[in-house]
Amino acid sequence: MNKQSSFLKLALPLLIGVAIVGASCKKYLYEAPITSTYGKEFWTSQTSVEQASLAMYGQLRASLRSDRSYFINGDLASGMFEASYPNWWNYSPVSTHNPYAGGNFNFSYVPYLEGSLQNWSRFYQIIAQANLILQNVPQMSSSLFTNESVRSGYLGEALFMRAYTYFYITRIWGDPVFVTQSYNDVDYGKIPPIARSKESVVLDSCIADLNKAAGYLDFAGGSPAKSTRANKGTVYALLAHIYAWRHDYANTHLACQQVMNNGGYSLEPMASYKNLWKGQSSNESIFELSMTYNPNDPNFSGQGDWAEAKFDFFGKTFLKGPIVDNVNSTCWISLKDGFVDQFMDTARDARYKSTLTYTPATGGDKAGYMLLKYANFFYQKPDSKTLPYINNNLVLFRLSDVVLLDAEALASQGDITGAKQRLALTEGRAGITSYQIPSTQYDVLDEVVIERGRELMGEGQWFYDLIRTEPTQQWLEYVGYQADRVSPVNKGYYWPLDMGTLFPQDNLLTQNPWWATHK
Amino acid sequence: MENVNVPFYQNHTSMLITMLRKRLLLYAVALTCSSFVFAQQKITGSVKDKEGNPLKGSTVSEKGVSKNATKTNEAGSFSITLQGSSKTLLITNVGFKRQEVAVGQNSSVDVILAEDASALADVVIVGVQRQLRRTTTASVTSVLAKDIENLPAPSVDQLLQGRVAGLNVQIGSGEPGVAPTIVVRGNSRVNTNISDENVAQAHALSSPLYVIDGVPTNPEDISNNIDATGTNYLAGININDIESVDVQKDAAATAAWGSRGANGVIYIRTKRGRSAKPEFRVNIYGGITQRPELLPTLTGAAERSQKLELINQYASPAQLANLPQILTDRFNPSFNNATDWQGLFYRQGNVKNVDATISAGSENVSYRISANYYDEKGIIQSFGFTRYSVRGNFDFKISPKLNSQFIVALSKNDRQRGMKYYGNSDDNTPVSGAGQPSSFYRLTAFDSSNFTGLFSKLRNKNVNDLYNASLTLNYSILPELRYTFQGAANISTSNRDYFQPSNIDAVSVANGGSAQPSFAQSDKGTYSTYFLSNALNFTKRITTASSHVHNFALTGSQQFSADVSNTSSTSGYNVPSNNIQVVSGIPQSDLSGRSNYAAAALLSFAGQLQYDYDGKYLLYGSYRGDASSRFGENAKWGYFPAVGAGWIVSDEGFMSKAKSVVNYLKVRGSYGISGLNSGNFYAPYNSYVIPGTYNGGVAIQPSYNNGLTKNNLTWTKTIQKNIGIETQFFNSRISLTVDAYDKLAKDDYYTFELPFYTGFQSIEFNAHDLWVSNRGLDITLSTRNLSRTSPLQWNTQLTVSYNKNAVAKLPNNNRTFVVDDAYGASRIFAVGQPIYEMFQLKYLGVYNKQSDIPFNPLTGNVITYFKGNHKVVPGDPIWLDVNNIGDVWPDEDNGAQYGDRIPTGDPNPKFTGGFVNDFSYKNFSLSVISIFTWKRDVINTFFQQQISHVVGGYSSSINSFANSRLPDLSKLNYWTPQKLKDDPNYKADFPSLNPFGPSYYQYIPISSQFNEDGSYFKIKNVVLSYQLPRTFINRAKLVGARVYAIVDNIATFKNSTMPNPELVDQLGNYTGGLYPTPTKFTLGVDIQF
Repeated sequence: MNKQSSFLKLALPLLIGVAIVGASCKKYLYEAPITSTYGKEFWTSQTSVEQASLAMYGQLRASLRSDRSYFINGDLASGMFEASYPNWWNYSPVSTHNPYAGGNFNFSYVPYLEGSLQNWSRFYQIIAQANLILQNVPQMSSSLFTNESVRSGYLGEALFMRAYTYFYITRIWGDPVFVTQSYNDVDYGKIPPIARSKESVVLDSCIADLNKAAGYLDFAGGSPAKSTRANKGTVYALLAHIYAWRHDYANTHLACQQVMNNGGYSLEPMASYKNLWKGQSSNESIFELSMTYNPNDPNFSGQGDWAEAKFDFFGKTFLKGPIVDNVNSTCWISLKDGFVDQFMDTARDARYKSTLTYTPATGGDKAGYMLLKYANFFYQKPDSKTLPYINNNLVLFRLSDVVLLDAEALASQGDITGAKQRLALTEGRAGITSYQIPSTQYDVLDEVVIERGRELMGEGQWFYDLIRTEPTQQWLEYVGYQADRVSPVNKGYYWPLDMGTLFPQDNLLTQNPWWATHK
Repeated sequence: MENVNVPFYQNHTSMLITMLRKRLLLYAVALTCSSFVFAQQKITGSVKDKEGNPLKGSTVSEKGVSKNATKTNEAGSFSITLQGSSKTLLITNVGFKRQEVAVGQNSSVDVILAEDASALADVVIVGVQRQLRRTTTASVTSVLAKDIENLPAPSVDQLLQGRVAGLNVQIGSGEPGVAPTIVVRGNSRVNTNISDENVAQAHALSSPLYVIDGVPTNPEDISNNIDATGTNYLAGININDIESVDVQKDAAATAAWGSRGANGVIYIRTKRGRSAKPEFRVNIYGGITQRPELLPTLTGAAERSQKLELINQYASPAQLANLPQILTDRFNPSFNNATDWQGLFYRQGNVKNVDATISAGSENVSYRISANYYDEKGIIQSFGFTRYSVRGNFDFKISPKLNSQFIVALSKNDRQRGMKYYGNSDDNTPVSGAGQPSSFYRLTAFDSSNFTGLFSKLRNKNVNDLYNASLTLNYSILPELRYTFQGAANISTSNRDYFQPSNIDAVSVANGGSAQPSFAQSDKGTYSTYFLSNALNFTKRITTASSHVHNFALTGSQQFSADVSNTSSTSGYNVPSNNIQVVSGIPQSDLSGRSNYAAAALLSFAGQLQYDYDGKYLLYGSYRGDASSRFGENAKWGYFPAVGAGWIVSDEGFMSKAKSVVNYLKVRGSYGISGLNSGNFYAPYNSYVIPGTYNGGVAIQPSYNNGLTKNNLTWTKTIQKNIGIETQFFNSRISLTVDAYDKLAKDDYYTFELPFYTGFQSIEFNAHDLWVSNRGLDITLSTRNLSRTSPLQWNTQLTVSYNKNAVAKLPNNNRTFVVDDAYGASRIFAVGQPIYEMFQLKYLGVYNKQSDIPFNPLTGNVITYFKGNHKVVPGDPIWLDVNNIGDVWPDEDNGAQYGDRIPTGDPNPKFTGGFVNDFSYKNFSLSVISIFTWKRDVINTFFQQQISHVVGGYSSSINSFANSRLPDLSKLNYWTPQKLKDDPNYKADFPSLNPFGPSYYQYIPISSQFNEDGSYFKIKNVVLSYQLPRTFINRAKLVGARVYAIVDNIATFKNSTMPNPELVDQLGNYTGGLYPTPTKFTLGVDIQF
């Protein structure tokens, strides 16, 4: 009896003690990191949404810059430039004068560039980031935002960025793998594979998203300060491009009209033409990616993927010799007797004078024309001439691009006068009048293709113009592609996918038609 | 009166077995009270130890008569009057073997008690429960202090080598303070990041949980979080403070530890005060570590003539006319030298150790306080290890019901490690391993000071401090019910200060390299573990009417531990002056700094039940639940059950006739599940990172590698079955223990490569389809080779561990995959293959002549290598054409069905073990400790890289041949055109070594050509000790004195060309840059005052 009570006297406090310790331990079991933010904590403020949105632009910038793929895909593949051998030996197979066996424009032989040219993985990071914003932002309390239109603005930007990315993928590799969900809390060892979706299905969805985004966003009134982010003008410029890609020229024209009439943009005068690439300096700019030097950029000295200003992207691509203090002796040259000599009135075209310069054959390069659009070049340490960077932005959409798309749309629909009016805007600014000569629909469209080349040279556009107009104009054959490769069935203007890397990740993935038998 | 074993059961939960023995003996005496009275006989006598020291406080009692007992006085004398009929005295003392003495008609008896080293080994601690070795159903092997004391090593883990069946210890580096690899019953970790050398070395193998005086400690967690120095955590513990090391192997032992128990548990107990009289002890040893034998190298003219000879064998006239200047210009003072680059760095080292101990044990207080200084000067310039440690173990008996233990330990270790910058890399010398330059280069005074003298300016200070305190309280609530509380704090700090002056490598600058900027770094880390444990222990003995006995022991416990890690690091390039050796004055743009904080917690509940029937039929069951903060909120709890059963067959009546042959036979079995905590404190949280800015605004995005939430992340599980037999023959002269196990690890953390369309790259998650099987046998055979009465005693212990390691299941429908390690050797991960199995072309010798070369069955031409790119010619290696298509190539990109690589070697040893012989004769004792590893494949990457420099690995160049050190080719029978011309039946042992190429990757580890047999037998230690004679000790007024001499790492017997096949990394690569294991000679003296 006595023993029993002494037992209870002792055991009771003990049990209580154990219970208290146990309960207070519980909170330690939910210990969360303080060294990095994480999902649950992150989506709780407008600032976070802003930071997440900026990440999409930064990812797009890094993805387009990767191995200069923006220019390889848009310019080099059109034969407008040549990457000279030997310094650009692995870029050379892409350009016309291919020193290797295997034919011109050999997209399947790009050693060490497979990761950017034959692999679309990096673009899915942007899509995942957009999906994350589209999933989380609607669930956030409205009290966290200045007002509802701020919230919907972020949704509009994410919808735009996702559509832009899918459209970009589509123009390079054709049918994308289409994902609009986020992957959280699944069995990561057993993620089901996804087959490619038809290009038309994906673009339908992009158009629907963009129409929604147009409702969420406002026009920027042509303000250069707002050109580095998506706005209603950006949305319509992209819609114009997507409609044109699908040859839906009625809608292309409507979208172009939105940009031209309501966007608030105006063409940059020829005198200040190079302001276009200077960074947020032109009323003509619709959408540009920020790449100018920022003294607070922690990535600058390491020149990582996320560095705002990178020397390599513009500098080592297009510049050499005295411009960059002989930092590089070779660069991409638009060959003598090539595009410039064939299609540009070098005596009159003011664009020739301001953005191109003839260089004789040097250092392994053939003679040709060097592009000076992105020559806003500095050293971070001028005394020692170290840390060179190019202080330019990359312009993705600008008004003359949209004007010429409208010309293409009008010409395609038979409105030759309207098309010539549009052509007159850009050609007139440059001081040429070749738009006056053609009279047939076919010739006007040719003039549009050529004028787009002259105007947008080195801006990552012309190859897509050639693909888009291929059914009627056959420019791809003109620049050197075999006819059966670029036939509507074979679509050999698309790049092959690096199946060795991608197939193990997705067993439903298929190779592009031409490369299934030619890689 | 079968009372010998009885008291154990009633009191076996006592914390101190030594006290227990003392108490229970009294109890036993009390129980066996007899009412008969016999004629009285007075006995006097003395009790001494075997060195003749009187043993005060020994209990002398009469067998069969309760309460008739006395204690010896200061001089060890006693006097007792016999009352019963047994005429037998029982003499006991703490720490000594109990002795029965039949007195007969004598009136005086002098007793010498033998020390009982195994007293502690009789108890094992499983979870929080004490179990008697005799009745446990678990598989546990112990190593005792006497086996390891004074061996010259910085940490105890190295000394477990060859001592414990089932434990594979490999010492891959002789660098003092580096942890060896320790694997219990086979590796179960599949690491796919082995292309990173540091990851491979630190995380390729599964390592066990350490429990130090009851406190679970995870060195891997500590080094993951605060590893500034790379120093072995266990190097902070003085080996001579260790009482015993228990290696717990099967599920019955490990499941009760829950977290991390899956990889085995190593329980370390430290020494306590035991001697009745205060004892002061000083133990000093010191010695030299021998400069290792350098690899044979040709220098100067010898090198030039060998190189030219080789060139002459192969070169065309045009090639001869165009040799690099370094070879032809032998009068140029820059190129006519004979610099032995390796000789610059190696030296003779030394080792010193001093222990001072004060200890005493009495009824109410016992204590042991020790101080230790250990210093090892490395055999490479600027390497070394120094430890200062203090440990105090205190036992208090506060009341008959309450006792307490308090342990406090402090230690500091300071490690010099040359210019090593991170982890335990291979860069032991500035020009390391196979990368050494030709001896022709002149070593200027400037270079010399940069290389050997770099240590005057180079600063690489690596200091680890350990602070441990632990308090235990035991309270007997009822005789059968005891409450135990333990609270402990372990704080470990790791501090590294590094400075590397600018332009340290003038040779590389001279060869067109660029000047190095100076670099300073300061890393600080603190890791704290707090541990709380509450346990209730209930024991009950029920004797039935038919005098059978049921014994129950039920333990319930709750434990909580919290880990907190804090680190900071600052570093920068371009310190303004080489005299400023800290992070100071560095330009802002070159400066970087960061700090980190991480915390984790573990809450556990465990129940353990032991039951036996008559001490013969044994049952055990345990169930443990652990909740870890490192898991997702849906899956924090893991449950780990285990059951065991045993039968002591030799106690059965039917065995009584066989008792003279088999005096002990126990059969036991166990089954259970143990778990593994995540190494990542915040594993379930998706982390967001700041990748940079966009137009000046900060961007934040999920990490591509850990950007998704894992609320279902949970414990891994290891299911283990074990069957064991313990036997003793011929009155324990031979004892044999055999354990067979089957261990299946599931759901391990695995880095999944995510499909591109998720937008993420990889994530670490439980791979439900990753199973690793380890099956094997642990065998321990101990024999006493000479009779008990022989003056010469010779005892032998042989341990053999056999392990078969295999991947049992792989993610993505058992998809086989191949990962290249840091040295370019491919490893295949396939079901049925061991982890890290080498995957290469099979090398089968040399095509000596044209007629040896087979034809392609389709084309009729000679076979080709690399998809037709190389047509096979005489002198080429024979690579097995596995798919028989007339072409051999490894196939890196088209799927295995096209390539010719096959599994070619298993770096996991199949057999490891030890062979220990102890001799004693009068005052002398001699131990010879040998270890062995058998059936293991290693890659001689060092030789491969040297050959690569001759002929080109990835690309061949006569210049790299000219500039690099030439290996000794004199013993190599390599193919040359001339030898074939001289003898048409000539057979080369090695393919052509043409410095002009062509290189078709034949000398990268693409084929099995450089694989070697990694087996070895090593005489690791010889220990000779001599107990000074009594007469001398008495004259010197000492209590005891002993001198000893030890040779460590004496000889290695092997079947390979590497000097020491144990010096390979975790994946079995011998790189030549790994720090050699030196031979140490030490002399010591151990004096008790």
